[in-house]
Amino acid sequence: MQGGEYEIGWCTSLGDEAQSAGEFEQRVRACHRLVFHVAYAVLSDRADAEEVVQDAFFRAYRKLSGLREPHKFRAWVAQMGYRLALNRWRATTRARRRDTSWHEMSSGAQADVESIVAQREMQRRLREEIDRLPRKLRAVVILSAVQELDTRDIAGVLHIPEGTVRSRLHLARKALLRVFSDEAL
Amino acid sequence: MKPCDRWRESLAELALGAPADPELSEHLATCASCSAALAKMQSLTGEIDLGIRQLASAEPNADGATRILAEVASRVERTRWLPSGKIIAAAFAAAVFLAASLGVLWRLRAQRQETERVLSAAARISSWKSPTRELLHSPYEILLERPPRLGEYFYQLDSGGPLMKNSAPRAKEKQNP
Repeated sequence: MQGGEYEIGWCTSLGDEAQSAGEFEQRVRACHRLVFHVAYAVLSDRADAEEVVQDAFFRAYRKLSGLREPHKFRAWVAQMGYRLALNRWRATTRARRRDTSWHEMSSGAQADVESIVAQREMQRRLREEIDRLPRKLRAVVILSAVQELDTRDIAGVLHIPEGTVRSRLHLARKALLRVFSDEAL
Repeated sequence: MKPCDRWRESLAELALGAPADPELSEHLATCASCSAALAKMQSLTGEIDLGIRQLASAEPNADGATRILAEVASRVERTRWLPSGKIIAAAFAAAVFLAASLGVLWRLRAQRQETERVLSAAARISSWKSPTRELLHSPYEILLERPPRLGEYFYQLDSGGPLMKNSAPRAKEKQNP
């Protein structure tokens, strides 16, 4: 689909009249990678992450008039993407647990056979352990994986002080290290 | 390679980047197990940090922004005629208000009808008369109003009916002997 199709003023016909179509387009171009990374960090699935990004920007467009501080658009849309991704992650986790509970029991026995690629195995295990972390710690770990977000951005997305972000990240890394070192040592 | 239990937590903190405790440094110089455990923990920390960074390692499609904008435009077009959330909320509030008003009006009307019913019943009771007077009414009741005096009759037969008026028979006898 050509860019011209969405450049003919549809942005001003709905949503915030103060925001022009060009401005919104610029914001999408500036922030879509960030929102994708946030969604992918939560979901680990490209297709799901792309859908979440589309949802997030559609909602952002509809609620643009409610954004009091336009300079916070980046953190705002990242937060929206994070929440949508988290909702989808919860739904898919529930569905997966329901559908493949019998499969997971048998696949555990095959873990040794599947550990040919150590890095992938480590990544998979790490993902599992991160999913087992308490919700507050998990959120900080996942958002810290996104390169575009520094501590202040994460604090803005989660509405917590920067010091809390740092302490939660430390606690999360310590918890993960404890799990892996208990096995290794 | 099991570390000493006393230093286990401190080793983890050190592996995560905390400053080294002088006492721990001294211990590490003499304890091979703890030194090996620290090295392993530092290696694991590196793997964990790398793994965390790789959580968001994927990149979106090159035309990601264009796709997003097209999708947003399409959805906006589809939902253009749908009422917004504020309108739906306002309509719902209006419906609730209307239903509540109707309920109150219906209740007031029922109360008014009940009041009228009670008042009308009270009015009927206040104007009620005992039926005894009607039942006891008869042409002869005049006899009860004034009993005949001495020499008077209860009946006067020549008038063709019951005595409507007490008469004096002796006076008539005197006129028509």
